[in-house]
Amino acid sequence: MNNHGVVSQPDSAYFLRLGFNQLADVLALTLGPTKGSVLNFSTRNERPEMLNDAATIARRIIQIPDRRQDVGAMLLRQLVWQMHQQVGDGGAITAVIAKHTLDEATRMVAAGGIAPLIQNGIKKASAQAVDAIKAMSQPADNEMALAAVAEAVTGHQKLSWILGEMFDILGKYAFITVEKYMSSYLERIYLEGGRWSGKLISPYLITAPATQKAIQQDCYVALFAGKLHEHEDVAPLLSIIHQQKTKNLYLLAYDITSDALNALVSAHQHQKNGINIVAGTLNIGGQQGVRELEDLAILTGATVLGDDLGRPLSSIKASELGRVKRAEADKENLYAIQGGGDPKRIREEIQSLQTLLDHTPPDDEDIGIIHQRLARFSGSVGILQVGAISQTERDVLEQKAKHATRALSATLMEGYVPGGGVAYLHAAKAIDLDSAENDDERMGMLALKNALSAPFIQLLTNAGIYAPEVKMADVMAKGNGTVYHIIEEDFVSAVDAGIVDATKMTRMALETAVSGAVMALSVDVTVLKKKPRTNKDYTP
Amino acid sequence: MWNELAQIAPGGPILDIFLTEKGEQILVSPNGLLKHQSQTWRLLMRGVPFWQTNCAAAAGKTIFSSGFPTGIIRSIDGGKSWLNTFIDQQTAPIVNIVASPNYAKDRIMLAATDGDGILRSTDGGRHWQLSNFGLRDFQIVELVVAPQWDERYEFCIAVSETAVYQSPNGGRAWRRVEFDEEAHPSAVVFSPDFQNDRTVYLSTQDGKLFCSANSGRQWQKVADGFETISGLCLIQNKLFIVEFDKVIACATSDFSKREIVLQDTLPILSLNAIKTQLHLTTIDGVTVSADNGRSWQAVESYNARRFVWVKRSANALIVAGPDDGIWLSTDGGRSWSLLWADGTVLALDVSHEQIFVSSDIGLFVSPDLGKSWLQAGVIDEQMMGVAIADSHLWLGSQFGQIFRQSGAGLEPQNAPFTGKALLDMQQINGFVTTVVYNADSSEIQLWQWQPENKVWHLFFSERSQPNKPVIAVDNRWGVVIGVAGSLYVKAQSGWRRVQVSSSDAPITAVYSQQDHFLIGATDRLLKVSKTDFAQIEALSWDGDPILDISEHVMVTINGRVFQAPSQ
Repeated sequence: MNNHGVVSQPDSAYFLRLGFNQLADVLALTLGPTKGSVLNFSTRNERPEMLNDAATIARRIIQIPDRRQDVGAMLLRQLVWQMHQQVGDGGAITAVIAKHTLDEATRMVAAGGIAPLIQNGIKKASAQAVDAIKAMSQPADNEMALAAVAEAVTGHQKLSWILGEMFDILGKYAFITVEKYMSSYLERIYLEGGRWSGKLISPYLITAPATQKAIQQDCYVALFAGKLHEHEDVAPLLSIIHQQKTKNLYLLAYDITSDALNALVSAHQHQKNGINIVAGTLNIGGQQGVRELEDLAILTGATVLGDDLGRPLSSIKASELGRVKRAEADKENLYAIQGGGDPKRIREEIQSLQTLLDHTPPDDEDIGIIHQRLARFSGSVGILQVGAISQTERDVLEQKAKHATRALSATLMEGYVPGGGVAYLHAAKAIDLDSAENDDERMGMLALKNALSAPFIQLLTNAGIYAPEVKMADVMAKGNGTVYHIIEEDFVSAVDAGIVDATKMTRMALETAVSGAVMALSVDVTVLKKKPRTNKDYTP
Repeated sequence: MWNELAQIAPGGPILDIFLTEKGEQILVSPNGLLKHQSQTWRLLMRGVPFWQTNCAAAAGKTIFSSGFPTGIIRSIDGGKSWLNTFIDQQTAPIVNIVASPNYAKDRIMLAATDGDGILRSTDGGRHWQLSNFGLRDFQIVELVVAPQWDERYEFCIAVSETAVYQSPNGGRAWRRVEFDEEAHPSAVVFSPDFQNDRTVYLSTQDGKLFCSANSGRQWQKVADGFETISGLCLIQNKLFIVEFDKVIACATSDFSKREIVLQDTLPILSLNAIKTQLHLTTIDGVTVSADNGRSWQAVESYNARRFVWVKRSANALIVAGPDDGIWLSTDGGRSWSLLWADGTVLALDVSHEQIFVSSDIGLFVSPDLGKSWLQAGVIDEQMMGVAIADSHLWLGSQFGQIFRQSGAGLEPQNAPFTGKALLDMQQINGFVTTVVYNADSSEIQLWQWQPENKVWHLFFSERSQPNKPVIAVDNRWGVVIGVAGSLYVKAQSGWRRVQVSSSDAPITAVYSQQDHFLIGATDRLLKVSKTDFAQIEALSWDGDPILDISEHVMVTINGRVFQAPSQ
């Protein structure tokens, strides 16, 4: 094969499909509770990596040997990763549906169908199937359903229980940080109020030695977007606090050093007329720092001052102080619990952030920050602590937890449907072939209708269950709420057995797979770029 | 050795009752915990940092207790010694402590506070941190945990004045559950078979009863028409409902059939099911029923009274406590008669045969050692101090307002400390003296009225907690004042501070004798030389915390009265 070149029909479609299928076959193995694992062993120097989620496997496969096939593999890889980013799950199902849709459609084209019309048929059938999935969807209004969705993603029962509980308590805008521990451990913490990355300015302010925290109740809040060095910078503020009945202060700035720091510590330690102070510095400055302080200002009712804003801290007035019921700071974080901000203003901010989040593409780099800010305002911040003895196990647990959090967010938004591939079977049944405008379109609709049975069959095949088609007929006969329990080898109620999938994931896997299959079907020519030089080839 | 005088009256308020891991019964009284040992009830808590116990609980081998002002202590030796625990900074009093049903395995404990929400410990009660996620109000009146926690669900229910909160995860987070917004919840009880039936009952202050069949997430009214319900208890499908001074039993299958199983004349403080027995405590007794309330047996011989004043006048000995009345003995403590039992005594002074009492229902005076009582005046404010000085009766309100009795009645007086918290008022060396706490400067202040100049003179000032100092008149030093673990004496150069005890065992009583001071430092009796304060001798004492010493008579925390050997 040439180093670069143009591949035309029929080779282009043939090799593209080979590559597409090659990757799909690997990913299909990871579908279901009896999924297999893929051992990734890239170099001699690296430890092997046990992978069992489709997105990570796809990400690890960066190239397959035949460059004509690689085009197809990379196309599917992109689809799987896109699914992972949007809902955290559904990569394997996307691959299976995409593969079978492409196979069926290719068969139809080989049988004389017109490719563009077949594509139209696939799209029309997809729209009908999506409608059917939405109609099937149940709202996720209980912890059991959420835990079931999490278990479908993680395959880890206790982790799923905890995630179900966390999302039930924190809601759909939950912001959950996953922390890793070096022992077998699974725990969750719910954070009251907001948390900011920053640190306490001096250990002399610590009031709770057991936790190394400075804690004060009922504090006045002063926020400064800048650095404080001089005694004069903080003296007016201390004087204002002295005049208040409650002499407790929570001061946050970008940096507090030198005489300003000494003044705060000595005011805190003063025997007769002391002020109880919690003072911290934010880990970020600049525009993002101002935004963090503005969030605090909304939550506490304070006004952000700053040299760049034309307001040095020395010009602060009592009316510019906010209030907080409890202020805490340690060497890593700053906390504000029950701020005295205007509830209406806080509600408006939550609504504005919700709108922003709903309209931000899932792969946007700001989405995490928006999510975090929203969780701070709505009090939906949690920490999931996972631990395992080995690094590999820890990493796997962390990944599982992260995938599940996305899936649960999706579930809370759109609900859930029966899992185990059954939702697709019912969606396939809802595809009305008679709605096709011509025979070619009907062929396309039939292609997707046939392909939608693939996830169910693949799940049973992975579990080594004999004659999956017979089980498929049985599960359809038993109605919408019934699924096939692969471990127990019996037909059970989806909700009772907890075999459910997020509607959003189910829907998006179908839409993404159809989009990929239609794109692959439309390819006539592939252009292979010049192969990059390797060290071996390199000659100066 | 000090001789114990006749017991004044057994009984007293018991807030709660529980069993230790060994099956020992513990009574929770405001004075501390009482354990039955060698045919008598002995006080377990000595030298603890509370001036009143609120609640206690046992978890495994550890006993926990809490009281005013705040804090939790624990004992791992059955109450012989107590250790402080580390608590997340909070100031509200703790009102309830409960342990996880799987305490041996998970070491989880929860504590409810009256103002700061809920504290949680995951290390067997050594460290406590606030766990308020989801709470919207923080004055918790009731906190209960399910009798069984499984691998997945660890149900707890917390009740505030206006809302019910459920936690499915052992108190890590709370969620407000839908409930009648008008109703004020009062008590909660889990079904003993909660693991299977997921049933919880909840009562309200306006006499309604609710039931939840899904672990407290949704509630349905099952009965009403009760009076104010203050407690619930469930044994063998029978729900026992506490209505102020009576207990009503209903079958959980039919709440329309109600049977009064106990009618007391005293307010009921708690009703617990311990194994198959019902244990009921009141403000003056404990009764037990082993047959589902058909018959009740009183628990005798404990003493949980709190006498904080002891006065001697002529041949009479007068002992009084805020809630336990005023008692008189005219035969040297061999027998006692009740002089006064109406209302809460706030302040007391005795002069010859006259007794002056400030109570929450007014000011009273008896000219004949309690044979008859006259109402001396009604003032809206509560009088925390009474003193006879300068031929006048002086009164001090809780907010520092001073009144002086004259022919025209009670005349308000101007004072520089008006508005501050008045802790006490005494006549010292003929001068009326007030003890005031200045919260702005966190100082205890003593102000003395100087009749010649007609001014209040700041006599003593020291930074301290808002606890009443102890004061004694001395022929050598004039006045001695005990604050926390220190004794203050007036030297020529000013007040001289002498450390005689630690802050863990503050001075609770001082009495001046000829060449030494007798000092009650909580549970220790000390003899301190007047000429050399370094000479401190610990006298033999059985360890009950001492509350007052006067004229060779001493009262201790659990209502015992002692007389000095020389008498």
